[in-house]
Amino acid sequence: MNRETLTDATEYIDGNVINEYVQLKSCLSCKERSARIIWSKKLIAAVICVALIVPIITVVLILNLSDKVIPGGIFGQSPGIENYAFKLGETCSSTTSQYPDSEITVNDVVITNIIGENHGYYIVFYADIKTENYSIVTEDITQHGNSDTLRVSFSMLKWWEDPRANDSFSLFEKELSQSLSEAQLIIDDRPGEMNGKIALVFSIDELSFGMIKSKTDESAYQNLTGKYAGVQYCLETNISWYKNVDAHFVFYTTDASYVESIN
Amino acid sequence: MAINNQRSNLSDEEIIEMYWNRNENAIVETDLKHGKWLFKIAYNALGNSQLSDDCKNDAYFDVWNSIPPMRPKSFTGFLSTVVRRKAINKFKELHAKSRISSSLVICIEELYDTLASNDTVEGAIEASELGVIINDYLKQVSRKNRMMFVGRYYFAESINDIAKLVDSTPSSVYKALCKMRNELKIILQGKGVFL
Repeated sequence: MNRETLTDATEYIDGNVINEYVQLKSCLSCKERSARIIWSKKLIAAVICVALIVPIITVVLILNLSDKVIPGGIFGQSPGIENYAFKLGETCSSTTSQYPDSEITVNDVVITNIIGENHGYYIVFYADIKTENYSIVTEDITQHGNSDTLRVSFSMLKWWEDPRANDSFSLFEKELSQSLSEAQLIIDDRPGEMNGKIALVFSIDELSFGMIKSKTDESAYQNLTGKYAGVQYCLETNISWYKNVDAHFVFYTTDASYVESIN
Repeated sequence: MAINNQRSNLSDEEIIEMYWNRNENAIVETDLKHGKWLFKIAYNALGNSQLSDDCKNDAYFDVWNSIPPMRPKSFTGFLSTVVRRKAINKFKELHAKSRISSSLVICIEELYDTLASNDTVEGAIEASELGVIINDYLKQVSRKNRMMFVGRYYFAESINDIAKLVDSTPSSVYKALCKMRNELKIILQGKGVFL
């Protein structure tokens, strides 16, 4: 017996045995291929998941941030403020003939930079209207004052025991005048009712925004915060029922990640 | 013919049918589906890519001439047999001129070293007779051992590949092959192949 005989002898191995081996080999190839396909599918699924989840998370985060940035988005989502938004000067029905001529208390003044569709800088007054037995009628606003211009001036005042005492000084004063049609009024109650909360939204330019921000920072630096310290915003308009409004100030930075409250 | 990474979606029966219809794409489909495996069979015997490729293509030619009239039950088995036969013939041709380096050489040497022991005197035996003895022996062993033997001494596969195939470790495969070679030697002694 030599090597050649041995080599030739293997040629006589039963074909069925060979087929059996070949089938086993094919099965292994199939298994390996299936495993590869399964892994490929898993990989694709993982990529798809990541591709879907990342934008979803991003959108959710943006929405969450948006909630913080935009008071009522501007109008819809602030606590206690419902979606009754009117442009000042817009006509709406009323049952009263009396004009409110009294103070209103502004609970929050929010200056915000809104990024996105409503890009711009805004100052928003949230106010409780304490005076009862009066009604506010938006259509009446245009009838009030000299023109359709709402003048708004701010001053920041330091006070001690009594916020309304004269022990205060003005840090800066900025007048913001704009047309009524650009300002907007939100009333959380039905139109015509005086009780409740209102929000006044004014768009401001970038310069004013920057100035207010710097003055706010300045007042914080001057230790105006504290139990007895506060910032008084005076909202004085040519509309008689908006005057001498007390407020505390909430400042939203441009990216909305930082909230500073001075009260 | 270059090795193609695509795969045929046709079944073996469909490819055979294409041969029967004398559709020349049958060869392309055969190569797509079985080309890699057939190349490996040839390569294990010859240890040379170019020769293995030629061998595979020659085998396709033979298959084309054989089907019809043949209609193999196991197309893969048929193909592997044809390719191996081509490869062995080429192997013998080359081996007559000079020693070549391939897996088959190692495998046959491994088998020969055990069976043709120095302390025995060999009797003459025909390849066909030896083939029958090997066949009989393979019928007695377990399927797993049978697959290991065929993989190693027919297809000249590596120990690692065989281990993967039978879901075992290379050392287990090596030991099992050793044992089978010794068993086969005892059988051959019993048959008077060794005097």
